[in-house]
Amino acid sequence: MNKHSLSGGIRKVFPNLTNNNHLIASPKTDNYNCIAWSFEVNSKCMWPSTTGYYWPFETITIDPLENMLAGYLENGYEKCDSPDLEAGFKKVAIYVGPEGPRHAALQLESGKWTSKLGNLEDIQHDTLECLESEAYGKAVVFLRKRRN
Amino acid sequence: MTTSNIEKRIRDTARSSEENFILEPDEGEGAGDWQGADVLNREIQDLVDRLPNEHQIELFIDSLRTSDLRDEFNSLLIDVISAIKDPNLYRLSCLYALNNWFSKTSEIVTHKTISKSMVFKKQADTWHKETDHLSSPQLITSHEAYLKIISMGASVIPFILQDLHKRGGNWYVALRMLSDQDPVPPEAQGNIPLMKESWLIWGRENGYIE
Repeated sequence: MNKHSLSGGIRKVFPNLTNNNHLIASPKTDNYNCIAWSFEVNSKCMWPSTTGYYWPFETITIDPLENMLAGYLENGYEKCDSPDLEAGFKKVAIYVGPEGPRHAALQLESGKWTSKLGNLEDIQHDTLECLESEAYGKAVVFLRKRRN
Repeated sequence: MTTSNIEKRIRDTARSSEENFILEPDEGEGAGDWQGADVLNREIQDLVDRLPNEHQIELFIDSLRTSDLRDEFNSLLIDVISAIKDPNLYRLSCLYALNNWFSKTSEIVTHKTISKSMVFKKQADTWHKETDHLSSPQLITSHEAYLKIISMGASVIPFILQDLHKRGGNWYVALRMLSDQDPVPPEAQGNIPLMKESWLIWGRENGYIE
């Protein structure tokens, strides 16, 4: 482990992380969460239909995953089939567990990904598989939006 | 201790207090200069000031939930409140009795509070360790340790506020459930610094934290 990678405790949560496939990119803070970070917001915690969370979108559905996706669609994203890098597009991957969405990662122009880990740091990770785990589930839904 | 014993203790204390503290104004010449009433009022005010606040009383009651002392406390409280409402009946002595009772039991309550604090910290440590990497509010606030903390009741509110201040985290659901209040204005939803500040101000205003 080096000083730019996550500590041993959290590494147990994400068994696919290695010293060479991620970098810590910010200090710990609970000021924003992964969903806010995927919307490029770092001053609020975002989650749909939940007291104490910011969610400026109007569409509300009963299904938790569709409820979250509706926010991205309102924000100009569209669903796509693959997380692969596409020129001119930014992408978001939604990690899903049995009860619904658990995490979101935002693709960088390099093709790597950036994720805010709950109340902890945000990291850059080489692939979506790095964070696939019992805690986060799998990245199964992908969205894209044209870069400005 | 039975209610009758408590009543006897209060009345004994009352007699003793009256002998020692209740001063009668002299009649006739010089009566207008008598300062005894002021002394008495200051004495009473001092005792009133030393009485526990609402939160401390809640903590006492909660701490004594499994103790025989709780019944004693409830009886004492009823008697004393009744007496305090009647300015001619044992007001000063009942204040002394109440303060003495709190002094005697504070050691027991402190011990129980420390125990509760340790239980809280153990559960809070587990909750932070196992959820700080999560974003899903459903997963964070349905964690077993979080639910155990809520089940400890409103007496853990000071511990929650202290942990919120030091370590952060989504304590807001627990605080809303335990207090049945939400001091966070609608425009601050999701703004964590403002939400924290709202709850910490609420905690100070309601005597939960310094």
